[in-house]
Amino acid sequence: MPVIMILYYAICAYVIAMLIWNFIREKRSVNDMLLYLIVLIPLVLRILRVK
Amino acid sequence: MSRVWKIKSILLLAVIAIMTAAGFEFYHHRHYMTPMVEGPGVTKVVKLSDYSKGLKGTIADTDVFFLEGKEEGGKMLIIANTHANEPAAMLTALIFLENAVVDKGTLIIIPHFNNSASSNTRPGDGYPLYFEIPTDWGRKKFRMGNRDASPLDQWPDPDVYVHYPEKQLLSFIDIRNTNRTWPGRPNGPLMEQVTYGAMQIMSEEKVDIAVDVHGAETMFPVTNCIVAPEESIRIAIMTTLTVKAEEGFENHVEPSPLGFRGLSHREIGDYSDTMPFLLEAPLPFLDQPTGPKTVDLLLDGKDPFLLSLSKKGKLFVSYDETGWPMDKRVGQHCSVILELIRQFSSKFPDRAIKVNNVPRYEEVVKNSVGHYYHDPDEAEKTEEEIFMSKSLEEINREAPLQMIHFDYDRYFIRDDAKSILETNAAWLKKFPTARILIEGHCDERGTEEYNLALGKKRAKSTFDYLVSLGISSSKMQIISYGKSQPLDPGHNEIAWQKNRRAQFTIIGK
Repeated sequence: MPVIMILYYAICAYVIAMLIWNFIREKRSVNDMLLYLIVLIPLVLRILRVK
Repeated sequence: MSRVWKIKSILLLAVIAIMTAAGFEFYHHRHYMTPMVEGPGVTKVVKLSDYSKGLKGTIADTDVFFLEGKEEGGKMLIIANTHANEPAAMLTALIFLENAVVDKGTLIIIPHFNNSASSNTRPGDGYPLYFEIPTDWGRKKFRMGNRDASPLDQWPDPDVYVHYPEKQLLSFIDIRNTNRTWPGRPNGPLMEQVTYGAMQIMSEEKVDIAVDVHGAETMFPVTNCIVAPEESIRIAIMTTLTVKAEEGFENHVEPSPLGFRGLSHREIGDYSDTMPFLLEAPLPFLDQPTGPKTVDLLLDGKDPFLLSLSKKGKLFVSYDETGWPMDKRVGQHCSVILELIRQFSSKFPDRAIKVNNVPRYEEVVKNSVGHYYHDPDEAEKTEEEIFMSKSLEEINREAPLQMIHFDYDRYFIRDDAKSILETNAAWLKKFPTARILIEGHCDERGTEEYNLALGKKRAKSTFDYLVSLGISSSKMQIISYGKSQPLDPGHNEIAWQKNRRAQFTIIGK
């Protein structure tokens, strides 16, 4: 795997971590909780190398 | 648990359920292996990574099948699924793979050239994930792919793809398109390594002709044609003229553009000694102004919007209510490839290639594509298991034992019959449980009693000859039908010759 591809996967993992952290910290808005999780889906599928 | 955490748990579970359901479907599609049966002509199977080391262990590595003839001759490389959303190419390659017998020269077949694109769905276009073709033994399932390699395997894309080595600026997506990355390089992006592997095959194996099989929109002028550069164009012209004259379907030649880089027909021609050809068959599924991209549209090519455009003269192929069925497209590809071989062989007899057992256009249209695919479950069985699984009616319908013929009023075994009986004896030795009835028959001349006696002598001489070849007498019975069961009801020498025979029925196994 070329270095640039590894870097992109690393960025993907970082964004996933941020989204999960925001989801955990969110206390009031259910809409925001749902938003964090939905945005997470394609990133998780990518990092698992499924889609 | 607080109310917030209850909500979070419900949301999390719902999203995990959605992700699992979608993920399972995508995972299954990415790892689905289209069943392929290696036909009688396959002599060895290698990997593309044997020619381009960087592909080893990646999903872009793919099988390369060799069908080598007993006699030395020329070599042809057939590349399919360069674009995995043009499946007539792969269906054609599988017909060659599962049926072709090469007498002279070598065929090299890569059925899934862009294997990464084969594992990839097309975002946004609502492509079906799979399609099925009816066969003589059930429905064969194929995976639908995409034009470009999956970003899972080659990512990220650049803003602009700078072609190597010509430095032409191409669209960003073309860096994942194996019909823009020729001639490739060993250390480039993955798709350049794929095309480099094919270039290495051509150079190391001394390939004479390379055929890259495709499909194209009916609204695109480069469709229903052979694209050929300068060195291939004479053979391409002869091929299109011949298929049109002899088989009645339209096909024309498009010259390979000099200034458009990265295409197989351009770069193979410029960077190797191999003659390249790119085949295009009409593919209504790829046209933009169609209805939904369904399996029916993919297989039948019927679409009301295209029909309307055809009436307005907007299509580059003839189009009517029958659409463009897959059988026609694959049949055309088969005939054009066989004709390319024939034209090349007549021009370069010292590098001739002889291929048998591949159907041409008319046969594919008549019998349908599925008729030429073999049951993978049966392929794993031994010949004896297959024999035992069939009924006597099925075995006799296949007529594994050939009949022999006799001279007028004679019952000795002729020289031409001896070789047939040797083949029959070999079959009986292969299936030692088989029992047969040898029937003696005569022509219409002479009395009934005389012919019954003559038929018995013919059956007995056949019986004795098979015993002399090592077949146990306990496995055979004889009977005479005299002149009561003629094969040909005619009253002339041609009919009589056919009727003077000994034929075989399998009566036990």
